Amino acid sequence: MTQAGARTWIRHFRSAAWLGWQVESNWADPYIFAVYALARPLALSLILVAIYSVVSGGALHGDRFAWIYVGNAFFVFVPLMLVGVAWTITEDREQFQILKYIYASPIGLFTYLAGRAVTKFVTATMSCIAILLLGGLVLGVHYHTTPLLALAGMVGFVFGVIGTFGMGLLLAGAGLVFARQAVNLNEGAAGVLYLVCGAVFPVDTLPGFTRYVGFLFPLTWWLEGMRRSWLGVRAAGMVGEIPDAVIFAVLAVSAVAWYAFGAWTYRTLEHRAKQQGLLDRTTAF
Amino acid sequence: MKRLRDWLVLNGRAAGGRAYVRIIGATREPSWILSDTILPILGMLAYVYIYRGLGAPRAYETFAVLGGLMLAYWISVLWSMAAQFYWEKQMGNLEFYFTAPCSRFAILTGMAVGGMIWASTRAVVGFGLGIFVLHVPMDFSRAPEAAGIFLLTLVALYALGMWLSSLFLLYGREVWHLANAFQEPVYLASGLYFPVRALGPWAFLAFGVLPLSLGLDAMRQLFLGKLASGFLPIGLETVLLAISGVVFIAIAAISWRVLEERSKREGKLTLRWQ
Repeated sequence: MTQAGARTWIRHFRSAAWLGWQVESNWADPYIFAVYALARPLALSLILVAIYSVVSGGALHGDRFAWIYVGNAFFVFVPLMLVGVAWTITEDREQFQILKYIYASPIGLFTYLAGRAVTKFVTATMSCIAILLLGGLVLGVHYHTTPLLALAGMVGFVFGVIGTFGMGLLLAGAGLVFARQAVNLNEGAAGVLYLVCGAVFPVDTLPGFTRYVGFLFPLTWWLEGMRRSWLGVRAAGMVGEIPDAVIFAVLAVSAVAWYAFGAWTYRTLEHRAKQQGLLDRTTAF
Repeated sequence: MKRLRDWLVLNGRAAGGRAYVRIIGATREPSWILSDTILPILGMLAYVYIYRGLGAPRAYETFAVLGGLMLAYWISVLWSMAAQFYWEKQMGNLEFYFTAPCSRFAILTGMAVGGMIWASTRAVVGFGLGIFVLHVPMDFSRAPEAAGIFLLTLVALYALGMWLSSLFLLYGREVWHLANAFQEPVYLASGLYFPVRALGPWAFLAFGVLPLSLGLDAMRQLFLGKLASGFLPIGLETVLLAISGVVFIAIAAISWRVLEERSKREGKLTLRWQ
């Protein structure tokens, strides 16, 4: 890419991010939007707190609780960013009916999606921080790390976001060619990942081969990596036996692989959607 | 007498027609039935495995299964009842409802009945999975009473949906986002996956506004007995559910009249993309 080309791409990317922010937030004043953005992820965390409290007889301390809590805090990137990127397609095509205009503009759908993902990323990061703060300040979750794990955690976080975006691109591509199934696919993807990636319980709890399915997704390694870097706590069972270096190495490789696969699949499906005249389809989902 | 009969026939047909569209619309494509049914169950499964991962007594898994059952209806109330007029407005259909000679409540009733039938396909599969595959413990000796509470809860929930639907006459994206925000926070406030007693004094707030909490707590007590850690006696919860159904219908009627009038005056009734 030439320097002029890079400048143009950045300009398009910034415009998409700005537009994404307006679409997400301009229906309310910033305070109401902040409450709205934080209410759902915080509620999801508090459900887990309530469940743990009921089972443990009110005790909210110990590594096990912290392990569940931090895993759930980072999982917010799935519904907000991964599914959010995919929702952009459904929303813009069906609800606002602007996808065809974006496609006809010089910005390009891929750059547009990347820009919109920034908004989703910011919202997810705010939610994650709020959940972690609530854990540390109110629920007594004790965060501790080492310099090496903190560094690995920071690098691992970036890889996790890349992998999550890649998976979001895959779903976004599916949204371009499927009709109503895309909505259920988005909902279902979050459900499947919550179930198989050890977000809130060790994968060993799952029956038979399903306990190994999560190993295919960077999310499993990301959540485990984040727990180790924030708490120094390992999962119970087979994931917990894997050394830190391997966890972060598998995270890096799987994240890059999923990004490459997601981007390739997205472009293929976008091409197919154009060939089949699906870019301006509305289905009253 | 003839006028009353004509009125009943007209509104009965309107309700039946609206319900028919919803039921047929949901079943015309097999892949939709599959994705509508299977994918939402995953959330329920996750909560069952959270309890298993924590080594909780098996009765807690019943909480997750009953929560999954009622979740299907709450989602239907939110998106197919309350937010339905948002979609209708976007598609340009809303004005047809207002020019039709039938009562608005006939259309709302049709939507509710169709929505209940559609949501039942999700709910039955999840419930069956819980009983026959996950083998969660349930005592069916008081199943008829549980079925009665269940129906009473549905009436109250869909009446709440009718009220919420009136908001979409006047507002646009604000209430769409409100419906979005009524998901996880309501799962928390209603104790969808855990005994509502765990909320402490806040449970009274949930009981005051959410028929979901009342219905779930009563059904859990009927299926699990003392293991349910019930919050209020079943008899009292039944009375409160009946009252909430009547109150929500009354509020919906008032809200529809006021907001329809206001949205017409402000020119927002058919305003899209607001």
